[in-house]
Amino acid sequence: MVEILQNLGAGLWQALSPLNLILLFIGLIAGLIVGVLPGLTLVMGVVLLLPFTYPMATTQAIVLLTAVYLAGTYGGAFTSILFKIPGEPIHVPLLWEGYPMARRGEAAQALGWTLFAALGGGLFSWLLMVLISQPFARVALSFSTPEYFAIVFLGLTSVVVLGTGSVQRAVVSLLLGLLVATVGVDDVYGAERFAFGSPLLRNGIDYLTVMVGAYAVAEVLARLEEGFSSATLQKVGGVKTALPTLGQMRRVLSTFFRSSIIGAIIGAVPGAGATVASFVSYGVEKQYGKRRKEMGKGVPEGIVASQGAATASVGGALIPLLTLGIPGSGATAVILGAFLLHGVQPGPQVFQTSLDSIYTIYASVLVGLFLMSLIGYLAVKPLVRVMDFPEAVTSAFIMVLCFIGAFTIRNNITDVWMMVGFGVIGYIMERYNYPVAPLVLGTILGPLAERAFMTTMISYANDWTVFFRRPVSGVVMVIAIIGLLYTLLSPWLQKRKESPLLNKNC
Amino acid sequence: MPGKIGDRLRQALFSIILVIAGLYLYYLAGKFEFVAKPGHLGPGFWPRLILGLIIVLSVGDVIVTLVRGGKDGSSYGESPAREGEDLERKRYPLLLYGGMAMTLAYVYLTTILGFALTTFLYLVGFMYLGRYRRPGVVLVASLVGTLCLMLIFVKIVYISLPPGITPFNNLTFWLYALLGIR
Repeated sequence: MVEILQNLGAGLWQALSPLNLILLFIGLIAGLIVGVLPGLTLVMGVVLLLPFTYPMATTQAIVLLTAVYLAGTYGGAFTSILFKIPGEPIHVPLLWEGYPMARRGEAAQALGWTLFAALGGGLFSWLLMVLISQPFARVALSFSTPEYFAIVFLGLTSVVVLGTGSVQRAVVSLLLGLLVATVGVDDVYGAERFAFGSPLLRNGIDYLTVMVGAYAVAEVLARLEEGFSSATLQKVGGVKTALPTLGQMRRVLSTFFRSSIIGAIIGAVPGAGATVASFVSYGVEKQYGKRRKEMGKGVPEGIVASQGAATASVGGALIPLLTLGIPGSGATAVILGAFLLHGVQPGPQVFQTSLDSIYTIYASVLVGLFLMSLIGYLAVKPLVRVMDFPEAVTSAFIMVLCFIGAFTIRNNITDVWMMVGFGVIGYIMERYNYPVAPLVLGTILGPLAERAFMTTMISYANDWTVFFRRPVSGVVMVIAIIGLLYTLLSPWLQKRKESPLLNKNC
Repeated sequence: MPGKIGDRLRQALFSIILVIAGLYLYYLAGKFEFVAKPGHLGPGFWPRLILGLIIVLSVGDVIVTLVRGGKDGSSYGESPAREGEDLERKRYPLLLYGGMAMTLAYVYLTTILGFALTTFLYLVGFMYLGRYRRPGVVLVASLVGTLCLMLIFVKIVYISLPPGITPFNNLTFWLYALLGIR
């Protein structure tokens, strides 16, 4: 504990250096703006800032991107509550609870609850991250390839389990991502796969290309097809934030802890990010909360459940990223990309080689949480005015930044062609209701999954039962399989449950 | 009825493409060149496993779509409405095709005309295509935006953006000199 506090003190000293503070501030403002603008997602925001990090030191780059990530989970709350326009899908539950409160003339209170939940949830998961990461990294050092494969397998299945819509199409999307990851020279045998004679394909397809294309370009194209038609903004008026009193906070304490725990856990599961955390936590509150019958009519518990979990997912998602090198969400996948671009492979070893950087990142998240809350408290009005900015103009610049982002990965125009290609593929997939998040996740986790699987097969003479015979990998595999089976069978079970009722009614 | 079959075929088109492409790639995955070692699965095992699953699931999707039609919310062109948006979402396919064509032209022309000129033209074109009709703002935003991007990425971030070929690269170098980029 003393060691952690000492390291944290040193990290705080670094995080409070003028340059890191400026980067933190820029990142938070960018994240809040990204959160406010409906056409710009949180992941896109982190992606767009990635090229700016090339000349920075690794820690500074991560501080900037983490700040965007953190604030991106909060910014959209303002427009959801005030105008019924969620800047991010994360904030859809806030439409159900925050907007009715605003309609009753309690907008300031709704914004106050959001701030409380964002700060509280963020602090909870930050504490968890600081306390768990280092001991977990020590344990992770003993992990072998079966454990790594089991964890990646859990991440791959979780995107299907926690996703919405067609399970079968989510699996196909995930498999397409895994397939994209096989392009190029393979790590184990050195064989060239699906390169079709292209030197660039021989080096593989960078997942950032897929990510920028499928998330950013596809989204801009979809918005362009709608003619960039956003709802007109009403007058903001005298927007203020009224913080809840201690007594009021005490009444939602159980909701707060429940949502923070859910957020941190879902954030830590590879593939599930703030949106899933927000919806799951809201759903749990609606089913088991004290005021579940009033949910949807504008109760603080709904706001705390959703916003608390969304911000808590940030700390949760950083745990597997820093300790295992496995991203817990789309945004952390870009942060992983930033680490790799700077020649640093996150994982248990960084806790031995770059402990100072890790604690600077921890400290910057802590400072960022307070700074974000302060900006949120003072600057709601100017932030929501960002929505008045013409979407055609911002989208044009987003496209150019995507171009630069893809080009700078390898200084090659072919990557830009690939990005545009994945943008079109992403758009088509969305139109056919194939989710793109599993595609991106498959591309990111594909190489890890294949390497771990193939190495295990070589080491254990193709005996696949090894995944179930080792304690850690066995438990993780069983959890993943149960989750997958439950997801696959639940529609059928639901139908069976409903059919006798239908017969009875008939 | 034929229209209905046509609709279902259209709904299943993406899955049909996946099946055909999957079969072709499955065939290719069996032909990877490597030094074979006894007892090893080989570099084709993993992609073939993935492709096999894609083919099976896509065939299932094609059958279900053709027999039963698209399920609720899963048919082509009916992406779920974004919550919180009261507006009925109209679609303008021409804008989409125009945007795609413009983006492809942008990538193609960047190596010829250079980043500066192509970006300026692209920004103007994209804003106009996006139905923003204030020429003064469009021109100023595009010009200032292009110069700012060059300044940030070439001078500060040290990224070598495409200068274009002669004679267009002269304009790029003139702009570099203007911005103090060496």
